[in-house]
Amino acid sequence: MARWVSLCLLALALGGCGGGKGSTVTVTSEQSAAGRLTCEDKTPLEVAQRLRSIAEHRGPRKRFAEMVVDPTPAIEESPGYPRLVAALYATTLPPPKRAQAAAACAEELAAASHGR
Amino acid sequence: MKRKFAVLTVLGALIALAVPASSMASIYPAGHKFEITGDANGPKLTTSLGNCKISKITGTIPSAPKNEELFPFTITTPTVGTCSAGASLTLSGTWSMSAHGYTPLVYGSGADSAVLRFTSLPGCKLASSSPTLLGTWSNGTTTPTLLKSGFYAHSEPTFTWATDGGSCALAGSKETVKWESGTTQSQAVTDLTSPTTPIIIGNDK
Repeated sequence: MARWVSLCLLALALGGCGGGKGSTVTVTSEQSAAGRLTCEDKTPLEVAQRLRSIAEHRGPRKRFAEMVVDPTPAIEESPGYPRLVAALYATTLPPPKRAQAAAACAEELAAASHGR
Repeated sequence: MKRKFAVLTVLGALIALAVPASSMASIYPAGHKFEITGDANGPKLTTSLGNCKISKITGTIPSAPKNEELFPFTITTPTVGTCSAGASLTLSGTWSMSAHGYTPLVYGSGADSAVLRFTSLPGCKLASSSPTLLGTWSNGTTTPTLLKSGFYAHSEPTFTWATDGGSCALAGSKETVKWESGTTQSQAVTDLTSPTTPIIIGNDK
């Protein structure tokens, strides 16, 4: 019994709690698929759709993600859409890093749009 | 037949008199100042981009007999507590408290009486001109913390995204905000006029 408990504790220490599977895991898998999740060289909608997995979660963030990932024409055509995508991207990061990450992502999206 | 009709009319009148009285909330003691304090697990507004706590709701119960008749009554604008990094909440306008039975609601009125802003989404604000923060109330019996009256935040008010000095793609879109206490434990309600007296909501007059 004691050995079993020790093994469980060791597994938790190494792998983290199973209940913690969520946006972090999802984003990590996206990051590994893309090398690094960046906002460069992609349209705002392309970046938004790579964040689609966020819309599978629950709570206010899910509804927000749905509006960004499947935008109405008015939202997608708005000049503020890149900022919105950047804000969604930033939700995958810890709160203290969000403002800077969102600003950088919005800049990259704007630059990519101009380059097309 | 006429007699039956008369009996039904009298019965209906009696019910009509009884129902408003039993559904009308009253609050005691009259004239006392009270405070709902949010601690680390206090009530908070959670949105898609961050959350903010309400650290204090303070008001004065109307003097008798208005405490049994007058709902809503005006309270001090609730105090905003800590927010998650990058989020901020501004409360303004007139704030009131009302109750229907044991479900008191704290609500603001006035243009943008509750506004949330996020540094990750400049140019946008999430605002409401009539934020309604509903909760449940449990009457206490005495002053020890566990037996104090308690307020438990629990509702989902709707806020609207709007432009805030820039271009906001979500302008006009609605967002349901969660208003809830951090734990199953309710926030203690303290009588500031007489700290040994519990603040009580009564369902019947």
